[in-house]
Amino acid sequence: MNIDVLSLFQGIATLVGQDPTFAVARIVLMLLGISFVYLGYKGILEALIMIPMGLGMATVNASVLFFPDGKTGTIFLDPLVTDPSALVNILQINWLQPIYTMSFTNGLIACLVFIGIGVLCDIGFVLARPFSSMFLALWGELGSVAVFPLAVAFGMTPQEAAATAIVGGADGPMVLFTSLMLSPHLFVPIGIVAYLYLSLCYGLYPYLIKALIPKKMRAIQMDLKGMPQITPLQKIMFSTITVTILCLLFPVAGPLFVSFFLGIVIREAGVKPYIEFIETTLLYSSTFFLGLLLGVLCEAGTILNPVVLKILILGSTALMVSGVGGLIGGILLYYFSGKKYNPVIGIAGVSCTPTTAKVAQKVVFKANPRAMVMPLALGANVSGVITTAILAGIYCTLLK
Amino acid sequence: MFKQKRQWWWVIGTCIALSGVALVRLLAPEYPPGTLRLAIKFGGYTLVIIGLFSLPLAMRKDDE
Repeated sequence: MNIDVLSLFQGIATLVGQDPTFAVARIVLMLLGISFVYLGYKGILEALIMIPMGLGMATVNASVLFFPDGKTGTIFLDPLVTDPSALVNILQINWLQPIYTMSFTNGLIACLVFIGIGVLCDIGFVLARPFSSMFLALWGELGSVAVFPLAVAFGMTPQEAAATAIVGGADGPMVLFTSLMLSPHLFVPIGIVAYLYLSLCYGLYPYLIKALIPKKMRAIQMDLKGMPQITPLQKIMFSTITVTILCLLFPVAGPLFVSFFLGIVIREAGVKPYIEFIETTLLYSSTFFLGLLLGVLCEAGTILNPVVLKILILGSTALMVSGVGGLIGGILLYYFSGKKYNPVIGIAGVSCTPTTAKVAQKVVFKANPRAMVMPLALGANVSGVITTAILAGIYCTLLK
Repeated sequence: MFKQKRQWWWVIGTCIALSGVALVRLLAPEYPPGTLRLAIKFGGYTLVIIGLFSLPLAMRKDDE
């Protein structure tokens, strides 16, 4: 009996039969995927995203097969199908296509994650120190603003530039939403780069802080005794009024605002069944599918797009500039307050909730084990989410 | 929260913010693109910020 081994193992056969560049890219992505799983397990990268993403990335690049028409592809999903009849066909073949089509292309997944973030956030920290929180959050947007003209200078269209610049806001769902709204063709590389970099925030920002803030300033102990107590009703009223005003101003970003403030209102209203459902089932299932689908979208063909290199450079620049911006805001508050404000809190203005707040507390704790900055850092952090959503709204309103 | 002496802060803050929205979304589009339109929009956004910031200020005064 004559058995064609290569047709039996089509993953290998496609590797041999493809353009060598694609074959090498596939092998690199498989190894990268395996590394992400390992680094996620070790806690170096964010496990919640990186384990499903790494596994998706490794397996999608291994599962390439020959179709009857001679072309190669996978039966995971096809992000480029737009023709309705082709979409109906492919929904019955590709196993992840229903989730992608129903939750990614319309931004639903970003909104679901945002409801979860809203439930986890306590807006009371913002209301207790509104001016300092918003001041730091505005400085924490420096990268999202400064990288926009830079991206245009790199040859991107204003829509692509805005979708790339918003990576500086360090808010995954916001990046997904903005790229889906403004440049859906770049949604995959921007999403991957954003989530990859956000995982690195936890590792790189402490070094940035140590490089820019002297130890004496990092060790400043904050007075938390004077912080006013905000009642749940006050938080609910503030959230309801704010979201209504923001939706009136930026209807395009309405789904994002509603999702975030809905989470906050549910939390403050104390509706326990909803809180438990959102905090656990909804948030974790959304994060799981977000990670898995981002990994699955990481096919060699997508990564070999030359624009990915630009996004890599501009995305990292945006995040670094935002980090520096937050710290500049912190230093300014340090001087405005008569050298009583710990400037490290500024890094929490970058809205990677709650990662940057944890980074601030960790760095401060190392400089002074008795210093507590977490409540103020969380205030800046939640403000950062709001300012990033507003900036996304401005970009979408002006450029869509 | 709704102590008699403070409830007006909520109403005033909301009204200021809403008047800002009206400037941005209703009045500004009526003018041709130019300096005046930009100025109206800027004024509108400023009113929104002032309005929203007056709400947490009202809360702080409740507790003090």
